[in-house]
Amino acid sequence: MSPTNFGDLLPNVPMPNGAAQVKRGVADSYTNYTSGNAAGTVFPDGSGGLMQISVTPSMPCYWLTQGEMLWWSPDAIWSRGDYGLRLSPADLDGRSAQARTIAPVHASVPWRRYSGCMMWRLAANTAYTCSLTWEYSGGYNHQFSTAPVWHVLHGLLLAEGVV
Amino acid sequence: MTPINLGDRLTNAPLPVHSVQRNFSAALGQLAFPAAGTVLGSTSPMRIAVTPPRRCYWICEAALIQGAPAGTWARQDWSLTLTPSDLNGRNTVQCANGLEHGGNYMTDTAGTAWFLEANTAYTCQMVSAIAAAGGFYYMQEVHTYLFGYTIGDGVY
Repeated sequence: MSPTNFGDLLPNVPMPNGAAQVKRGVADSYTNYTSGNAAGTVFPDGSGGLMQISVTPSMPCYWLTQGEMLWWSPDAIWSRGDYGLRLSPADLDGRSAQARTIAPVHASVPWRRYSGCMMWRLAANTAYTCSLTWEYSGGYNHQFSTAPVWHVLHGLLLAEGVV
Repeated sequence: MTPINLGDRLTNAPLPVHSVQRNFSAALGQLAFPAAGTVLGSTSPMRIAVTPPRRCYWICEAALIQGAPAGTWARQDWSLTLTPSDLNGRNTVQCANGLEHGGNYMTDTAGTAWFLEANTAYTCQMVSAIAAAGGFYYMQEVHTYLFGYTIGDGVY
């Protein structure tokens, strides 16, 4: 079940019982999305990159991924914006679009942080990418910050070798 | 770094590093936010359970979407609860919400780490704490979920 004999592990280093991935926004910018932005659009990191993390697990495992964002609207009316987490390819349960987080916004209400997470079930030796994605607008404008303190996507491999 | 010599472990069994629990909510649609103390999820209760073979921590992460009628600020809280209480005597993390979003849904999340005793059956649930008048939430797996995993299993 384990890829390395216990006797081959060094006694003076941590056990390799997980792997973590972190992607943050790079530069602070305020980007406006509307219903004109397609569902599944991967959010930018503010510096030409995308909000994505990737793994190729050596064993079947679970992958806990979490995305956090900061939202506001310049429109003086309540409206709803959704973001989510997408996985490519789909996981062993056929799931590929989860953690649909709803962020209601209004010009008179300050910026607010939202978060959502998903525990995917992964196959061994398969390259997976998890993306922080725009999903839906109820109309109007939705602004988000790409500052590294607000714009975060991170992952943690779990139960390696146990599933 | 580890309290048990690796040579003392079986070579034909997995490392006891984690166990994983997932509850993806059933597709029940919009439900009335129930009275305080009621487990969310109606006929598909939002709960997960574990009986760890060793002392460990249990990380639990939960989310739901909820709302209240437009036009008036309302208080609507929910909790993550543990039964029985953990080794620190803790059994509740409460999420307080002042809701007014023009009648829209809003995502709210909670996460905590419980400290569990070995060979004890624990249940973590999403429970109503304060119900707003006319308050509601939504059961669908992309919006409402409860995940858990144990860590430190036998490592300290």
